[in-house]
Amino acid sequence: MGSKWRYYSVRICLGAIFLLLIGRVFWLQILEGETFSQLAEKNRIRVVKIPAPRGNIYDRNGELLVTNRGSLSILYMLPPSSQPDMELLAQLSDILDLSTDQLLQRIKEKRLPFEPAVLLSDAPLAVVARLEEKLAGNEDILVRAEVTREYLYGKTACHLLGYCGEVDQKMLSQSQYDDLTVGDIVGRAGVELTFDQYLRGINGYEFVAVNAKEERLGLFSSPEPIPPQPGNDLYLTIDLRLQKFVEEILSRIPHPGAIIVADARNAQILALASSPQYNPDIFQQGVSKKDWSALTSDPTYPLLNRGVNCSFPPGSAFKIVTATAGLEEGIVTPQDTMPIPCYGSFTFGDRVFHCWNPGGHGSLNISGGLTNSCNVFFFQLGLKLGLDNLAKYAQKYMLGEPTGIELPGEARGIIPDLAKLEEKYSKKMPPGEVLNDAIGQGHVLVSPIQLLMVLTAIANKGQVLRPTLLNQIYTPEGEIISSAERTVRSDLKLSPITIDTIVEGLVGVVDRFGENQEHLVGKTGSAENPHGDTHAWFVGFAPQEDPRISLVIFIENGGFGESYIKYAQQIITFCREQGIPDSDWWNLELASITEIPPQQ
Amino acid sequence: MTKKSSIFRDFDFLLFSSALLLSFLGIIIVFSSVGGGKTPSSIFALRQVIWVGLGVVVMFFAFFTDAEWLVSKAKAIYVTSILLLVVLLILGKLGLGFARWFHIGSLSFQPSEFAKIAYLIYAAQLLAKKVPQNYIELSIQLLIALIPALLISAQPDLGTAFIFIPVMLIMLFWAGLKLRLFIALLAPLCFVALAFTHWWIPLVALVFLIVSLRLLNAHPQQIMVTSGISVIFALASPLLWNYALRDYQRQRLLTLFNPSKDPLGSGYNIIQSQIAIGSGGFWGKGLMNGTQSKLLFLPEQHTDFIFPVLAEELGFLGVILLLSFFAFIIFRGTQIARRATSPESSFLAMGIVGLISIQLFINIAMTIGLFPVTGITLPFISYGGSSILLIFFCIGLLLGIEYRRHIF
Repeated sequence: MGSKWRYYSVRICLGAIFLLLIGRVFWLQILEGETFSQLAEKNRIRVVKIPAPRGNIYDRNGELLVTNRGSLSILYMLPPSSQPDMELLAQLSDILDLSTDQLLQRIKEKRLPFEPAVLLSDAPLAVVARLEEKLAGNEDILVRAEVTREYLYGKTACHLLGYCGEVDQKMLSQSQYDDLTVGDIVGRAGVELTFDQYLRGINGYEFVAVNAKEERLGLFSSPEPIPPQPGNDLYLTIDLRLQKFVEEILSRIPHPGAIIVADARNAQILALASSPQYNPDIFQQGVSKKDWSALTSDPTYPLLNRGVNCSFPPGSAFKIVTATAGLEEGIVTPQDTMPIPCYGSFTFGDRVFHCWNPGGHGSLNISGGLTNSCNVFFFQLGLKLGLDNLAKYAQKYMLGEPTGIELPGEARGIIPDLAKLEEKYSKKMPPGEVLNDAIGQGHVLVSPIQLLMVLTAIANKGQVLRPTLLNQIYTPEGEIISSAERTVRSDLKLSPITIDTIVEGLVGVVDRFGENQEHLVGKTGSAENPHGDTHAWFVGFAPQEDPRISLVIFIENGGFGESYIKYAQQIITFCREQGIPDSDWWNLELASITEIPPQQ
Repeated sequence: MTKKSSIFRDFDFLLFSSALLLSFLGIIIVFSSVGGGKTPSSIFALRQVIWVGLGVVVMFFAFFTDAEWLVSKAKAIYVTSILLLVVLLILGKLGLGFARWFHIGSLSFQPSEFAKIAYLIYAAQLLAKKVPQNYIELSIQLLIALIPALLISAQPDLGTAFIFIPVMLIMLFWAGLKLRLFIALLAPLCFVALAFTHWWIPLVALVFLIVSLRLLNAHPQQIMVTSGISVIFALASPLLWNYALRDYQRQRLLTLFNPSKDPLGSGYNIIQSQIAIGSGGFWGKGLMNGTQSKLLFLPEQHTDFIFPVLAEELGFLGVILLLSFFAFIIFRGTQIARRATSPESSFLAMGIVGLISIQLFINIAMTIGLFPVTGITLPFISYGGSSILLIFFCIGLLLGIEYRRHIF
């Protein structure tokens, strides 16, 4: 049947079909076989990140402050290119107490097609138990153990410790975050951020054989896992007892404020508190919009670390700088009085500048001027110095630039000199400008930590130290890789006369307001500001004879600085009694026998 | 001559054993392909063994049935198959859960498999009576192919429906249809596809069509009708695309040309299946060791996508083995068609050859990215009763046709 040519035509066509099939299979299996083998491997081997535990954070005495704890996350594994099961979501909504819209949102947010969506992180045990009970055997819902940062003392030292969060795109583009990928946890504030490279470890990887439904299988051998390397442990210079004590004081004051306490000999920060505080736990797994807007719209700005991140007019506390300049420049001697005694005000040109005491202080020498915080004395001293001389000494105290404390976002403050001001206002400054700046008003702005370092410098014969929070960093194996150092940023090489004169004036400040049991030396400030009541300052150190502790108290709109001297006394007493920073305190009783004369 | 001795002498043992070996290979691959699932693979394999056993019974039944007698009953068989399709469609529309299968107790039966063989028999009968000499006679041939095709495409099972067209073309060609009529039939189909290319390609093709018809001494009237129909088809195909195809069918066609566009969606199957085949390499990963299939990356891996399982586990060697068996069966089929003593049996044999080769081609081509994904099974290998019974029935007919050549 059929003609010969039709017979062969049919056979040729059929033969062509076979050749086509064999050719294509040959290309797939022989020519591209290696490529497809790798694709098949990639298909079944999932690289699963094992997050490295972050290092712990301890205080100076080895008290644990921040650690990690296991937590449970509830995940939804949606197979590729399928739609969420609405019935299941309704059930989940009930169990997890989240609306189905919220759940859908979270499913949409998942990053990679093969990765499960996180429905609820850090789920309470009760919720997980109910889930297991109601949805046991559902393969799409997974419960995964994760590591969560735990701040053992809640709000305590929140501004100092900071918090962690997922690394963002901006950070990922920076070289120090090269080893991270989306979803990794990094420090986002406080020492969690500044010491992040030490605290975070190196992620490990697990190679898991999975099937197309992402179910883990033990069917095929997979490469050995690479274990994660935990981060280093960070020992801070702060003392938990003192930190709590200081925070307790702040909580009793009905104004926002900051207190910083340092070891006067090396500028190690012993306590650093800012109020109001916030709870770092809310940042745990990505802060919710609601919490974030509550924090940022709070008029008291609880996220601000007032001790470091803000600068304010220092008020009379700045007179220490003016006095230093006057004495060191030889413009006044310790005995000199100013030409015009204080009658409560000072007339310059056609303007009248007031002293805080309308009754006047009469004629004072420089230490008397400091003790009584006489504006009229310092107006005249400022005029004799000139603005640029004043600015020179402020800059020697390293004001106007960050102190270098290991906290992010430090404020620089402002130290005005003529050139700067003229550039800013593009006009010649009136000669009266220096009057306001000499008493810490006008254009001067400093942060509490900067002012603390001025007093610490006086306790150190003019050495301006870099404040530090770092005591030691230990590797997980217990090896020290970084230790506290005493860093001198600048040395004013103050003459003993300058130091004695200033200290004499500052002792008087404290003595004026009651018994100075702790031999505290300090200066108050009540800085007028355009935003409301005056800001209150007290900055000082103790004991006078052998400085151990320096501290600064700053209270926003807190009124007169004098009101806070009692808190400074309490802090010093607490430190002495608790042996902070160490028990080797200068012995007050012994001192009275060996007659180091109390300066009065 | 005694029947017994002639069976031993004239029975085509090679064809018979090729079919049997292919189905044994099928049982092994089915067993392996379901290894990753929840039902024990032995259950699938056991059922397949039963189907193959039944298939051999059906094959001998077909062998002893005289093909010519069968062709004489063609009209009844054909009408029955169409009725079954209609009933299935109505039941499907009534929402009784029938779409492609009749479920009778625990058995299910696929009328479209029956419709294929019924069409072959009826087409053979009509062609044996008279090979179409003009458009009207040709359109009757077209009609008997299109009726079951349209009913099946309404199930919807576009893949199976499509098979009728190439099978019809092979049978008509083999029956001796005049070349210009053959071209007149082929041209509109080609133009449907060409309409989706650049605008100038159908124009060039049209010129080519007219010239070649002229060279084949076609009547000017015929040339005009053929070209006219082709142009209408070309113009209508965008409408067909928009209105006749369902979303998922359009999607499958589009992904065929660019599977990486949607690797997790409709391109997923094509990509995963090519990964499975490609990763098999020359030697294969070994039976039961295919990661792609064991880890369920393949869809329908014991039916439609069984070829990638074989290619992954048995490698290029296994593919060559499989295709060699098929090539033997198909080329032996063409010989049988050529040597057949009656036109009916010859056309029927060539129709069977066409059916097996087209199913083989479409099934493998879709797994290697040369054809859209459709629900076409691989003869002898895919799991499933209806398809196994049909293929053994066809082989039985071929054996019978070959055997009867010696009787007369």
